[in-house]
Amino acid sequence: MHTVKLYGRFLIVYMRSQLEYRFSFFGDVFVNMLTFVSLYLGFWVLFQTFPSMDGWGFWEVLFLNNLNLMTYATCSMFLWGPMIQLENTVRTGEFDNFLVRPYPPLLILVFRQFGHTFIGHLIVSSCVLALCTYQLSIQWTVGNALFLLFCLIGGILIQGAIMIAAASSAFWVIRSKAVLEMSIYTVRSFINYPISIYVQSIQLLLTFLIPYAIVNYYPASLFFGKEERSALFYFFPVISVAVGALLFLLACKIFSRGVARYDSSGS
Amino acid sequence: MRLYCQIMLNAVQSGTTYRFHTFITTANRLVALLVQFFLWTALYAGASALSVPITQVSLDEMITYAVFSTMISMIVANENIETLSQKIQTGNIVTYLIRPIGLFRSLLFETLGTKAFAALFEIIPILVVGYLFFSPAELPLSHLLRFLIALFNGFMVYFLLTFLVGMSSFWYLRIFHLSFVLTHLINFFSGIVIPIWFFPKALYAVTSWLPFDLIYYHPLAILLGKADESQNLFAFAKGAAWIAVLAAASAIAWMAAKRKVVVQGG
Repeated sequence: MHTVKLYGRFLIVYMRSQLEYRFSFFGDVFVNMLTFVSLYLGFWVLFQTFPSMDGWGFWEVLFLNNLNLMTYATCSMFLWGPMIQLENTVRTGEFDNFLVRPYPPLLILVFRQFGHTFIGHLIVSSCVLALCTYQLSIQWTVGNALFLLFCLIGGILIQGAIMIAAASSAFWVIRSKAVLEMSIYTVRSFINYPISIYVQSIQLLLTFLIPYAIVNYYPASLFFGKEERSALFYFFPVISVAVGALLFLLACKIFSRGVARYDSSGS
Repeated sequence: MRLYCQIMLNAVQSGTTYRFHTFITTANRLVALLVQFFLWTALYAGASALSVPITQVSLDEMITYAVFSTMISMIVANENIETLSQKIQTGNIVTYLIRPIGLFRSLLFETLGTKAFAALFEIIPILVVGYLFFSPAELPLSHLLRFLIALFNGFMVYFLLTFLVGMSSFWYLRIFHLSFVLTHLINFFSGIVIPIWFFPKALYAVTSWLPFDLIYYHPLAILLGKADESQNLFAFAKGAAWIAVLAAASAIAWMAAKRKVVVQGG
């Protein structure tokens, strides 16, 4: 409870400082909306010519992407900024500051800033979800809603875990930002499309090694009944959250291992 | 002339010191190419399963398109936006005012220098991997000269667009807004992934007046032999016109900027 209160205080200060420059604030939000507008428009063009993407229709592919976008944006609001700067923070020795506070360093890192730019992503993804609901006539029964909610929670945890684990490499290697960017941009770009289009080795990689497929492909294909709606449909959300929680704890562990290894920048 | 050679040589040397960066960029582009390979394969398989004919282009040609689009992205790439915004915000831009050659030409030859390095360590590896794994279509070499002209146009258009965005740092501090907008306009309108021939008619009409398709789509359409004489002529004329407009805008921007520079202390 104390943590939530403290975060609230940090958040208010952050928002005040950002809203000082109102034009840039809304500019940040708007510009980030474009990322996915250009991607989604691209899908729209492709589906003008091609009838299907490995059995998936246009709106299904958008729904698939939306799961990725929503989970990525939600966890990025808290993690993207601090994680992308971790390389610099560690290299310059600025990380010292976080070790002398009476709070876990990871939390202080996260508290200090907030990714307001990702509000843009959330606006786009909410609109697209509403459109998908209409176009695919999705019934939001209790079962469906709970399924989606838990898969989103699982997805947020998985995306966050990958982000923290990749950024933690800052404590071992010098160019950790490249490792992070590769994990969250390059590798994640695989799940812009249904992973069934790839060879099996890539599918296995995305399921077991860097489990991005659990974020969107498996939930979406279960949701649309690409496979028979069996017990797995009710069981999967639990798996998703469990895997997410496990990976997130593991990532935090890696981070604290790194912190233990940290020995400032000298001088 | 020796001056320009020296600038290029410096860029080559600084390229060799950032080997890690080169390695990462090449790896990222290879993954992007891999994703496109599977995407087009799946799309064509889906079309043939429902017996929808894709008349414009075959799968092999589409894969060739993807391989050479990756190659072009390496050729046109430059650091104008980062360099300019950083130099402007720190004030280091003044060093360009005391150099014997102008800002624009300095940047241009720096970029050309990095290309010599990129040719060896980025472009050739991509083409080798592309040909070994993705078996692209045979290319009619008769279009080579026209392709090179289109490529030059594309290079200049992209160079000028990024130069303008970089220069806008003089007036607008959050430069990543404009650079984001440019990136996404290019991602969608340039044909970097999705060729313009798949665009619906109305969108095609809009795109054909914008400068972005000069960067990827036109060189690639020529290379694949998909552009007829009239389209070629239109593309070259359009390229020349856009380069003239953008160059004029750049010159005006640099002139206005010079008035805005205030050198403090010293």
